[in-house]
Amino acid sequence: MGYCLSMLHNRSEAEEAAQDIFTKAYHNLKKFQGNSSFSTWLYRITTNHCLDILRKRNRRRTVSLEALVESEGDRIEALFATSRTALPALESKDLTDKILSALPEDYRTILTLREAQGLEYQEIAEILDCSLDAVKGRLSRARKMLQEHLQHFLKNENVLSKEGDRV
Amino acid sequence: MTHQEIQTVLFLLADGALTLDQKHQVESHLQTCASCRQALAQWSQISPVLFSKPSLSEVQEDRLVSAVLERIRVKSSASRLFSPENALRWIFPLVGSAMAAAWVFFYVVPSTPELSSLPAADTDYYSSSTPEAVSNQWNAMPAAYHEDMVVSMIKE
Repeated sequence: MGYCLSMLHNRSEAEEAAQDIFTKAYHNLKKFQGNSSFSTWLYRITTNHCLDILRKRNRRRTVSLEALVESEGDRIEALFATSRTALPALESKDLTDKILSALPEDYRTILTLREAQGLEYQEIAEILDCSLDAVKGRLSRARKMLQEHLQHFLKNENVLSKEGDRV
Repeated sequence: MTHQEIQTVLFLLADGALTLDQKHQVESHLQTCASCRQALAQWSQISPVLFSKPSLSEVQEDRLVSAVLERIRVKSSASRLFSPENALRWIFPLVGSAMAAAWVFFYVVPSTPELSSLPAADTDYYSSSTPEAVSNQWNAMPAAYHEDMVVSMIKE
């Protein structure tokens, strides 16, 4: 259910989805052939189910990351700010969901699997049915996309003043 | 590796997903490249905000387990009812009852004079639709039938 919640960012939807997924998995147990681990199989069902829900949801509203950054700049800044100016939890959750919804679905999925669920690359490759290199490439591109769009709202840590810098 | 090549593998450094050779190259590049260092530092700010792992209480987990078990139980009992071995338990009594009812209506009733010679108003009563028609038919029936019909309706 934690994965559903990470993907959907809506507790009631995640609960409903988790119930559907476990029930579906129980009734399809005979289709599990043991080619992968049981958790990988369950993750695969969960990913497909959550993506179906996200696709239905995104049909109603699709905003690009550029447009979102432009329209919600102040709130995004507050999202990454220190606790003094931070957004209330509910608002943060809503904004986080908006940012993730603006990502391509394969980026959102792979980032959730790696960052929120902490899965190893090999397991991610099995869940998404792709090669290890594809996982590495997709993860790099997804992180770069987010970092490039959100960099203006982040604190500049003391990384620019090293001796011998080329830039 | 060039700066551009480093950028394609930079974020894999923290995951420990680079080969030893790639790791050395990226680390030595980071010594001299401020923008790559900044990109890594910024990612470490983004990740915990956007991808915090949601925590679930024991109560929520218990609620999920009971909800799933309930769904499985309901679905299983419904599918069991229509399974081939269980279908025999209700199909035979159903067919038997239907045949018995057909026998009563098509054989017993026509061959019993008391049942088959009911006045026409009695059968019209059931087919009438408007309240006035029903009332007229009811009044036209002999009084003895009224009582019989009320008693049979109550018994039913």
